[in-house]
This record gives sequence, C-alpha cells and structure tokens, in this order.
Amino acid sequence: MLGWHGLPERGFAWDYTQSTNFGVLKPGDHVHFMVTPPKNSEGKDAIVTKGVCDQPGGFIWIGGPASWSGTVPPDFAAQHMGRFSGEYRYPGTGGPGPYRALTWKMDTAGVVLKPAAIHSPHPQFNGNVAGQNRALDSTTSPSAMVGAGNVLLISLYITYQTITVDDQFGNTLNAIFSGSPVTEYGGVAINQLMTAAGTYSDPVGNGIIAGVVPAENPPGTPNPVIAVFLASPVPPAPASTVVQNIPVEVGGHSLNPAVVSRQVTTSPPNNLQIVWP
Amino acid sequence: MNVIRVWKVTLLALCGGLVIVSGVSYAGENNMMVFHEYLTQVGDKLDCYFTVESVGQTGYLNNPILDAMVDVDVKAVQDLNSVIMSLANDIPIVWKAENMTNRIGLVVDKIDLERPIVRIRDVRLTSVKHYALDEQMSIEYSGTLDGLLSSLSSRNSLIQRQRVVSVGMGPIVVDVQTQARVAARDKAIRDILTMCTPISRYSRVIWSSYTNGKEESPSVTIKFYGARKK
Repeated sequence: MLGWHGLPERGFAWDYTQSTNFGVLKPGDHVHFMVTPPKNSEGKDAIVTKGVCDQPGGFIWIGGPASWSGTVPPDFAAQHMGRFSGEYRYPGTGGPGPYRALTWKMDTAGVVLKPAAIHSPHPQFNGNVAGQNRALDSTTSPSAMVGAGNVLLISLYITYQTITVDDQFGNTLNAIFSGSPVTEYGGVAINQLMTAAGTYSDPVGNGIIAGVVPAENPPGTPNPVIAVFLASPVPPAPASTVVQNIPVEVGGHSLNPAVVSRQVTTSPPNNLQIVWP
Repeated sequence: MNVIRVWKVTLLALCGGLVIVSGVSYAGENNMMVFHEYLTQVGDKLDCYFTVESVGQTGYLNNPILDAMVDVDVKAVQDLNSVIMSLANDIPIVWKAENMTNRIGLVVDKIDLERPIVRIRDVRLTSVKHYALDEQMSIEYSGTLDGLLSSLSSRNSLIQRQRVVSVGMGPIVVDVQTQARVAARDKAIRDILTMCTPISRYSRVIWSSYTNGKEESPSVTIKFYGARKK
C-alpha cells in the first residue's frame, strides 16, 4: 500500500523534521530557509530530492526542493504558519534496490505586523510657543511644495507632537518599522520617519505665509532675502483655528483611525492649543 | 446606532458607494476617509477632476467640505454619473467644529473640458449675495497660478490667497510652478480658475475655496493644489 508521496505506508513518522521561526516581519520582507537533514552514519551529507510547499501560510514561495525563499505580500499581516515536506537520500542509496526514500518535514512560523492606527489617548498641548521665521521646501519638516528651486518664507507657531503608532494587535509598533517614512493624504511625504520606539514627530500649528522666493539669487549664492526674513521680527500668532482630519500612512500602510478631530488654535501673541479627543 | 447603521448601508447601496456622515462621531470606523482623499481616489479611478467651493466659519482655516470625514467605499465607485448622483442627492456632509454643526448640502454639476471636471458647491452659496466666484470678469493673464490669484485679488478685493495656513495637514502648497494663460471676456471667476489650469498631471482637486461665512459679500480664500504628488 502506498501512502504519502507514493511511498510505502508508514504512518506519520517523519525521518527528519525541522522548524524555523522567522520572528517578527513586516509586509514586503523576504525570508529564506534550507532543509538540512543530518549526515548519515558514514558521514555523508543528505541529498534532498523532493520538496513541496504544503501550506504557504500566506507567503509567496519560490525554490525547492531544499532551499526556499518567501516573500511577505504587501497586504498580508497576520500570524504565519507554513509547512513543507519532501524526500531525501544519501549518496550510494536510491535507484534500483531495496532502498526507501527518507522523508522530511519543515514547519515555519512568524508574525507579520503592520502599522494600523494612531495610538490613543492622544497628546495635547496648551502653552506659549516661540514663533519662528522659517524657509521651507520639499525637504523640510514642515514641508512645502513651492516648486523646485524655491523656498516658502513663513512665520510658524508650532510644536512637534510625538505620535505613537499601534500595530494591528493594538501594540506599539515594533522597532522593525524604524525608518519607515510617514506620509499623508495617500503618499505625500512629510519628511518624518518612524523611530524605534514606534513614534514619529508631527509638526502641528499655524503659520503666516510671507512669500515664495528663489533659494538662490544669483544662481549659486543663497538668496539674501532669505537671511533678511529669518532675522526679521516674527509677527504675532494668527487668531485662527483648524480642525484637522488627516489621512496618514506609515510605510505605505494607511492608519485607521489616523488624525481625526485634532483642533488646533493659535492666538496672539504666541499661544498654541491642541485639543485632540 | 443600529438604526443609523441600517440607514447608512441602504444609502450605500442606492447611491453608488458614498455615504457622508459626521467627521467626529464615527471617527474610528473602518471606512472613514477625509473627503479630499476620497475625491483624489475617485479622480484617479475615473480620471476626472474636482473643484470644491465651501462656506467657511470666521476664524477657521478649514474647508468644511474637503476636510470632512466621510464614510465611503471607493471600491464601489463604478462611474462618474453615480458619483455625481450620490453627491447631489441630499446626502449631507456633517461638519463639526467646536460649537458648530453643519449638515452641508451640495450642488454638483459637471463640465467636460480635456477631462470631466465635477464642480461641488455648498448649496448655501446659491443664496449668498455678491459671491465673488459668481462675479464676471474680463482678464488677460500669463504666469503662475499663484500670480493669477494675485491678479484676481487686485481686481476683486473679496478674492484672497491663502495667507494663514494650518501646519500638519500635508505639505503647504503654493502653486508658483504651474503656468496659466487666460484670455477671458465676461467669464465667471470660477470658470476662469478652472479653465486656465492645465489639468494633465494636476491634482485631482484642482482648486478649492472657502468663504468667511458672511451671507453677503463674503471674502473667498482660494487654494490651488499643484501638480499631483504621487
């Protein structure tokens, strides 16, 4: 009677079992394992002759029969449990004769985390801040889109809030996401990266635009207008309020909830209040 | 809450996938999305563009329509007509800010230029006296879109560029890059803003505006959004 893989029925005993735990992963990560049955009594290395993926566990696998590489799909975030199996033999065995193919089994495990939500309770702020004149462009934080070669001259009344991001299990985001870019509105860079502590820094407040000027004038020389502006007196904070509802992504993963109902108020001369339910 | 849920699901089925509700009450739910982002995704999906005119609140920097949270399923969007129907058929945006709650009705229509452009307006604007974007103007202009706003503002003091901005809502955008050429005679300012913008590769929401809330001769702050950023 033939059983698993067309081999003679022999119950559920595997000749060799192996397991590996990939630990904590993130979408897009790559993993690899190799099945390595032990040397035989003569000291000869095993030759893995067959291998199949019985249970991919959500990953995309290529390779075999002994060496396998997997990719975590971008939309996969869950526990991973995979299973592989196959056959092996030793040199001098196999082919015609009374040899039985040896069987192996590999179990793989891991957990794939993804950024899922902004942690609550949210940070609040109520106090005076030092107004500052800044020259912003697409590389700064806050960032400005004012055309290549230009800078936005603006007077800012802001604070940098430390925002904690949770994973899909409600835990603070793992350090493997350290360095992941934070974006808003579906992928627009804000020039902030995730820290190893699962946080990012978010500039929040209001500003008064003074103008847009070339960064260099003449070409190759910093525009002297910028220095004059930076050294000039900062106007009083505007008496303005905004309710911020902002889509936020970390490493391309949308947070839900992200920034919702964060009310930001500035009032002269330099008060900033952030109420975030 | 269960009754509201059923109502929402019914609307979802009837209206092609768009239900707009409070930006505060349902903040944590899965389909909540900022309306601006919804329009961007619909624009990407259907290759169309939007302009949005809102009634603002004195002292606030928000565009209450664009900044509202909506309960939507972009995947359910099939065609532009169903989107326009869903926006126009008495589905309110509810904007809550401090002591104010407004259910905003929309007037929606479409013009076909290089691509379809859907014009979304707060219905209250139809009864505003001396609303600047309704005013007609003749203008010849060549330069940046930000410069166009300056030019319009110099001719109509109710037109304003955004000078005070919120920090933390994505990059601060001042469109000094996109070149516009206008030769308009007796055109509504709204049409000048739309027709002068080269929309290829431009943001799906081309421009938006919000008033200072006055019912007569309100000032109107206008913002262009620049080239698409992704």
